Parts: sequence; C-alpha cells; structure tokens
Amino acid sequence: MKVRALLFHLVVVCLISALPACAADVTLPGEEVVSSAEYEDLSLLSPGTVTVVKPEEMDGEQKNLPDLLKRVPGLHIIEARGRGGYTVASVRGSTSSQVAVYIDGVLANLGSEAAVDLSTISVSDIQRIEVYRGYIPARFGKAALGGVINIVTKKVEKAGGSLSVGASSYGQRQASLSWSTQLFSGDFYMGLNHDRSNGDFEYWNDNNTPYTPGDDYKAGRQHNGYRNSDILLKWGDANWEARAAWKKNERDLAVAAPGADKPGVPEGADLDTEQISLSLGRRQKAGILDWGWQVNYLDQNKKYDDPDNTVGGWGEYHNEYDTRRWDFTIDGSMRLGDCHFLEFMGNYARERMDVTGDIITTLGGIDKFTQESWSLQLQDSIALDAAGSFLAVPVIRWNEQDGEGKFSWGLALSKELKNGWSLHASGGKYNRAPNMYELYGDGATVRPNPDLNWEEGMQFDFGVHKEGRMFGANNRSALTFFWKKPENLIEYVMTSPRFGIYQNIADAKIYGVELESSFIWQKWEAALSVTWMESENKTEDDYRQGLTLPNRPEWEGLLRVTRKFDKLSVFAEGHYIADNYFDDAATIKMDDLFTLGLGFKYAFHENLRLIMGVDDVFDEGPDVKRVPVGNGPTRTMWYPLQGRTFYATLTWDF
Amino acid sequence: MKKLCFALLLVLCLSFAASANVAFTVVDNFYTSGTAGLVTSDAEGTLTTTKNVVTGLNGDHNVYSFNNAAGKSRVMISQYTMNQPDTVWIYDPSLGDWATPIEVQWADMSNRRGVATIDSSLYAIAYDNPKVVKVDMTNETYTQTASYTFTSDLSGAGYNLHGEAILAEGEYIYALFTAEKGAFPNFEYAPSKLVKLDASLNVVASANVGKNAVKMAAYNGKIYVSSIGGSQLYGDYNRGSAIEMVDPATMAVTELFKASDMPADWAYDFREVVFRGDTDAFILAGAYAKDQMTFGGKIFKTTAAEIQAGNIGEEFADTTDTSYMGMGWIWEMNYDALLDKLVCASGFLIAIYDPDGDGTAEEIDSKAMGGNLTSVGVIVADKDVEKPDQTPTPTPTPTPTPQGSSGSSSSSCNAGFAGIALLMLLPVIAVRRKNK
Repeated sequence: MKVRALLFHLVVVCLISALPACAADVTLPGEEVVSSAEYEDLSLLSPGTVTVVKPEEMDGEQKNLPDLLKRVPGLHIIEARGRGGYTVASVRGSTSSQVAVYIDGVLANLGSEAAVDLSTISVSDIQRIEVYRGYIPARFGKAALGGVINIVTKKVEKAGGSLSVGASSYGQRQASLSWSTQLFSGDFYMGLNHDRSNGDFEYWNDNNTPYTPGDDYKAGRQHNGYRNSDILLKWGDANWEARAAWKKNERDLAVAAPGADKPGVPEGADLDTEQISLSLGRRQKAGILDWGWQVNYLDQNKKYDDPDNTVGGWGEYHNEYDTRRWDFTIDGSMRLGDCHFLEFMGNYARERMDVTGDIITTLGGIDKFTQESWSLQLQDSIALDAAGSFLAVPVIRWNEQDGEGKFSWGLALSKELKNGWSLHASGGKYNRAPNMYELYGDGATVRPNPDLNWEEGMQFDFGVHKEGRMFGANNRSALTFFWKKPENLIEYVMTSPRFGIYQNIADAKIYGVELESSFIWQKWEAALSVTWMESENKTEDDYRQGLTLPNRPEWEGLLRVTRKFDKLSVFAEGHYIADNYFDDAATIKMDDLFTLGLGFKYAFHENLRLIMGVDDVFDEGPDVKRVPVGNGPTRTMWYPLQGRTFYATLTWDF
Repeated sequence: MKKLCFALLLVLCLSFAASANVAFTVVDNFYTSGTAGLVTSDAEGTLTTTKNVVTGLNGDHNVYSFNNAAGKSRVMISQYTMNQPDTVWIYDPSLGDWATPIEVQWADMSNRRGVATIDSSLYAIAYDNPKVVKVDMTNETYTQTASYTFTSDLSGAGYNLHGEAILAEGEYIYALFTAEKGAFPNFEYAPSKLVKLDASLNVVASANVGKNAVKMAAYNGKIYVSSIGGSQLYGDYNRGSAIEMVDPATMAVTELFKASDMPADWAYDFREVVFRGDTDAFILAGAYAKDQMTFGGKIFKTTAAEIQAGNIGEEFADTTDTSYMGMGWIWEMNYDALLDKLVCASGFLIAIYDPDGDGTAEEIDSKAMGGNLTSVGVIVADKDVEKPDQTPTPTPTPTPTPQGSSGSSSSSCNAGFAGIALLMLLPVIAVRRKNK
C-alpha cells in the first residue's frame, strides 16, 4: 500500500516538473459552477462523462425520478415491480448496489439496503440531476464502481412560490407547493409534495396457464398503489447551509401477476418507510483555500406488514427496521500555482440498524447491525499546456469500512481541439465494500458470510465531444466507448426456497457505446440518447459463464422532440428497449418495448401553465411479456408494466 | 437404393443408441425462473446432459414421470404458485417435442408432492391442502373426476394437514399425510397418517406412522415409510426419526429403524428407502447443517431381506463427498433399472452411483444443467415395450415404484420399438430390389 502511494506521488511529481509553464489566466475546472453559455460547461463538473438532467424542462409531465433518468445514456432503470415499485439503476452494466446516489451531498445509500430505491425520491424539489459515469470526482466519497447520481435540490433564485396540482390515470394525484423568501441574512426554501396512485391498470392475465389462451382474463392490477409525501426546508447564506427533510413512502406490494388479480387471491403485503434527514454545513475561504464542512443525520423507519402471510408463507407478518446514520464531511479546493487545482474530501460515517418483529421473535434473526466507514480523496486538475486545453485529472481514494480499507484511483484526460471538438478519456480502479446484510445476514433466512471480499474492478472510457453548430443547429454531442471489468461481484444465492447467502461468485465484462446529442434550431429542440452494450458473465465453472447479464439491455434509446410556439409548446418522446434478459441463465427475455408519449404545454400567462399529455400512447406496456429462449411459452410478466397514462397538471407561480 | 438402405441402417443404429432416461428441473440463483433438461444414456452408458430443453418455468417446480392410459411414458412438470392450483405441463418424451405440452390445472392441487397411476387414472397428492385428486387420463384429457380430503381431529387442535407422498400398490392408492403446527423453525408434529384408498378414493383403512413422514417405497407387497421424526433441524437430528414397514393387507406397522436406537455416532434423520430389484436396498439418512445450507448425510447399502431384519448395512456414500460438498436443498434417491444406477438429487447437483461401485458419484453439476437442481426423476418405460437386454427376473416380483418426484424404476428406450420396426423393413426392401 505504501509502495503504491509512493509511486503515485512520484508520478505526480514527474508530471508537475515536466509541465510547461501555464498562463496565469488559465481557468481550471472547479473554479466556476455555472456557465453563461446556452449549454452548461460540463467540464466544470467532471473531466469524464457526465449528463445533467433538469426536471424543470419536463415540468408538469408527472415524471418521477426513474422516468427522468431514462434519458441518460449508459443508465438503465430496473423497475422490478412496475411504476412506483422498487426501482433501482444500473450504470454501464453495473449492479444497482454499485451506484452511489447523493442528495445535496448526503449519501443516500444505506448499509442496511441493497441499493437506493429511486421511486421514493420526490422530484418536485429537484433542480438538477448529475449522472457521472466512468471518472468519479473526488467530491463524491465512494469509489463507485457503477457511477454516481447526484441530486441537487432547488436553490433560491427569487422570492416567491409555485403551486402545482395534477391528476393522471389509475388514480394518480399529485400536489406540490414550494415557497422561497429571504430570511435573516440568507434565503429560505420550503417544498411540500404529495403524490399517490392506485396503479390499477388493466392488462391481459394468462391465468398462469400460458398454453391455454381460452382462460385468459382481463385483470385490473390490485394492491399496486403508493402514497408518497415529503417536506423539504432549506436555509442558506454566503457561508451557512442548513437542511431538514422528511418523507414518507407507503407502498402496496402486489403479488406476482400470473393467475392473480382476481377475487379470492390474497392481495399482498405493505411496506411503509419514513425518513428524516438533517444537515448543517459551512463554507469559507482561507487565503487560497476554499473549504467547508457538513454534518448529516439520517433516521429511517421501515415497516413491513404481511397480515395474510402471502409472501412465501414463512410466518413473517410484521417486521420493523430502524436505521440511524451520522456522517461528517470536510472538503476543499485550492489553486496551486498556475497549473494545478487541488480538491480534497474526507468523510466519516457511522450507521446502526435495529430490527424488531417476526424475523426476530419467530426466526431468531439478528436485532442490531452497525457499520463504520471513512474515506479520503485527493484530486488534482493539471493543465498540461499553456492554453489549458489539455488537462490531466488524477484522483486517489482511500475507503475503509469496519476496519478494512482499500485504495483506488482514477485518471481523466481531456483535450480541446478546434471548432468545438474535444477528446476525453478516463480509467481507473474502483471498489465497493460489502454492506451489512451481505456480511452478517439477517440471522434468519439470509445467512452470514463474514469472509466476503470487496467488489473491485477496472473501467475505461474514451469519448469524442462536439459543441457548436451541426446541420445548421446549435448542437452538443458526445460519443463514448466504455469498458469495465468488475470482479468478485457479490451476489445473493438462494440455496433453498427459504435460505440464501451473499457470495463473491461472479466476474463480468461489459463494454458498449453511448451517444448523447441535443439540437436547438429556431423553435425546435431535439434530445437523443442511445446506448448499445454487451455484457458477459465471466464466472468460471458456473452455469452463467459466457451468458448475458440480466437487466442489461443490449439496446436502449430515447428521443425527445419539442416545438415551441408563442404560448404553446408540443413535445413527443419515444423510448426503446431491446434484447433485455430477465434471468441470469439467459433463458427469459423481455419483449422489446417502444413507447411513445405526446403532450403540450400552454402558458395562459407568464405564471400560469397547463400541461397535458399521454404516456405510452399505444398502450404497449401491459402487452410486454416474458419471452423464453427455446421451448417454452410466452408468459404474463410477473409484474406487468403500466400502459397508456393520461395526465394533466396546472402550475401557478406566485 | 443403397443410400436408402444406408440411411435406414443409420437410423436403426441411432434408434437403439440413445434415449432420455432422466428428467430434471433447475432454478436460477434467485428462485425466480427455471428450466427443465434431460440426461440421456447411449448404449455404452455414456451420459449426455441437455439443458434448457424446456424454458420459461417459474421458480418452484417438480418433475414426475408416469404411464398414461395406454401405458405410454409421460413426463410431467408441475409448477407451484402460492394460493393457486399448480400449472402442469405433460409431455410425450418419445416425440422429442418439448414445445407443445398438454397443459392442465386441477383445482384441488397446489404444491404437488407425488403422482401414481392405476390403469387409466392418475392420482396426485399435494402439500398445501391435504387432498388426493383422481384424474382421468383417457384420450390424454387429464380431467379431474374426484378428490379426497384428509380430515383429522388434529385440525381442531390447531394442526395443519399436508399431503406428502403417494403410491399405487395393487388396486389401491396409499396416501401419506402429515400434521404440524407452530412456526418455522420450531414446528410441532403429530404422528403422520398413511391412508389406504380404493380406486374411487374411498377410505379403506389407515395407520399412524412416524412424525413428519416424507417418503414411501413399495417392495414385495410391503410399504416402507421414512419419517424425519419432527421438525427439520439444523445441526441436529430427531431421535424419533424412523423407517417403518406397513402391511397393506392389515395396515399393521412395524418399526425397522429408529434414530434413537442407532449407534452413538449416529447423527441423521431417515429420509428415504429405495429398492434395487430383489438384491439391494439403499437408505438415505442425513440432516441439514447448522449453516442451513449444507446437508450432512450418508447412503447405506443393505439388502431387501436385511432391511426387514433392521440391519442398515454398510455406508455406501457420503453426501458431502461431492464437488459442492453437500450444498443445496434437494436430497432424494431414485433407482433407474435400465441404467442400473442410483440417480440421486444431491443438493445443487445430480449424483449418479453404480450400485455395485465404491460410492463415487458421477456428477452432473449446475453448469451442465443450466441452473441449481430443484427436482430429478427417472423417465418410466412404456409398459408394453420389451426392454432390450433385459434379464428376466426369476420370480414374479412387483416392480418397485419410487415416490415423489421420481418415476418408475424401470425404463427402456422407446426408440427400441421403432428400431425393431425398421429391422423388419430391411428384408422387404431387399426383396423389392431383387424383383426390380
């Protein structure tokens, strides 16, 4: 470990000494936050691949966070239980556990959960979503193998507020109120939101007899709703920032569909989650050093209820999980000489989960888990030429969890060429520590495996970017090839219908191409994202060896076209997924799916807007089936997809 | 003409060369989807495993084999969904068509544990409800015509009743039921019940047998019942675990083995007895380890006569002596009379033993099968087909019929019949040529 650190420092010193003298007026990434150009200067966020999604551009379309993320190339949304159900992300073929999610700098991933459930995060207060792939900047503590989703909530720009009410198919109702004002020396923001749905869409059910179409029936999805509420309070001035958030997610856990959703079949279980998070931070300058600290506290209560014992019949009627986490972060940046911009970040976190319920009293599970982790990152943006057009950005990280730590590193290179072209490349080594359940099990049905190794991997990407004029329009495009090789993947293996264990049993190879392009031409706007990806399970002597990984579609793309008029704008959005396997034996595929959404936005006046539209115009979602490879029947999806959805939203700014 | 004879000869050779002997089902690591496959033996006994013969199964299934109303071999895949009748797919293995099964559901069958046949009727028993259904197999219709529901005073005492196993012996059906209450992992069991039913599912007689009885085997006019003796334990065994012999004529029960009477180093529950013709009997005994993931146990080899005398014989194989070291959930034995092999579900893999060998298994692992094993069964022979190279048994003896997910112990290559037909054609063709 010491040798590697020494070698790294040697490389850095050599780089520094070999550099030509930099012009004093070279602007290095990190020194500005927002560009005044039509397109935001993404190089200020990361020298690697990053996409920014701005929810306000789709305001009123009642898109949830997973819907917004579907337009990011390289990112695949896994809606295991349909819209509003448990939803996670895979970035460039990663597992969902490998994707780190931050909300205003606070890590949302908990040691007691496999991954971040994106359907529980409200979008009404989100200003922007940054998705980092490949190179992960030092300000994010995790050496995230799968990338980072950074959610930034709204900042106060002017006093006033906004009220939005909406309705859509299947009992969905949505209401949001936000208000901001000056308070003392700073700005205060408040956001209140409520979003609910019955999710009782119709679909054809094969009655669990896929070879007997005569007994198929039209079913309405039962016990498939959700009710989400949240409050966000923020105050900040030039130095201080305080944040308090509360959210409650009540979710109906529908049973698998085939043969269900009819009288007499039990409905399913319920999962209610309530979370409070508090943050306090301060930023200041000390000479050339710009630094800050932040302390965060999170308290989450999760209740699982299965009064009819419908899930597995194991006798788990009620379980409750209480999680509390403290973490402290210090970070800073400074310009060093003419060619260096250093950034550092240190973080300490302590988490505890207490468990009560049948899993303890009946199954003899573990009732307390703790986890302690800390990390250190150091990043240097180095201008390699006098003009500052050639940058090298190495980063080195130390991550430790429960006494075991590992180094990881990354390096990004970017070169600006003429006429708006630029080249970008990045590579590095990444890792993920096992979480609490993976290591200790639950003492009941998840068996412990304290010998689990960290997941590790290498990844590399190379991209060509263009910003300027193309085909007569303002254009920004990026074409990126990526490759990654994760090892020691931690996977859950069920050794019986009841018991399972997490094991390091998988290696993989993933490569692909991302294309992201946006055009602005007079009153037309178009945004395109396409991902092609090949994934292969490289685990030796295993039935999955050489097979495609599940939930890594070979093709995924989204095209959105908007036409603006005076007070009206109309838009169309198409989304396509193809060649997506559901199982790790590559025997079950999802029907290829293309959905088309249409809508319009009409501004009665500057502060009052009506947005109406329909998602999945052709109602393709419910027709998606599980398609076997070989001799087997096409079957109803275990969790069918919601189809044609009409919506209307009225928004008033005051 | 030469080409035609050659082609016919080739087909003739191939028709005797290979036939599917064993069917299995596997599941992925998450128990969400599965497939079925076949193990085929050639004339030299070399096994070939074909995975993904049937795809698109759900995550919980079993495979069985039986003879239909015409005595022809059939393979059944039964898929379980909680609170619903099992989805059943029935295949004719001789056709090689695994894409178009007969699909049925029987309203009273959920979580099937065994099938048996008498003439044109099939009888099935399931775990979720203590029922036996009678199904008419005439013309491949497989329609439920009757059902029997096991009732007991134990229900009033809070016990839940479950079907466990079923076999046909003579003109009667024998159905095994258990009674449990409480919650995992501390279930409390009452004595199990063996119910003798006539072909119309009327109760003829019954007998109490050991607690948590899981398997039955019929041999030489007697029924052998294996019982775990209580709740399945992890890292321990039930002292009350036993193998009992039941006389179907009188339903008298004789205890042959009991765990508490075994030597001091005994650490197993009795799980199953399998008979190999008139010669050997094999006993599977074991228990799940404390880690709840591995099964520690032994296969003992004894004789049919010795087993009645309560002699367990010698240790034949150790269940942990496989490449997966005893890992997995499914543990049972089937005897394949055609291959003369013990075909065992050994956790995640299939272990095939030579009954006269040293207990070393030929393994078929997850990689070959395309997933983790959930069931395995020997494909029964057509009842009216002469088995090739079959040595006639010296005395008329009922063919042992292993229960649960296994089919009959005797099986032969259905293609043998076609091969004989082809043989008959050749001289005809030769004569026609001569006459040209």
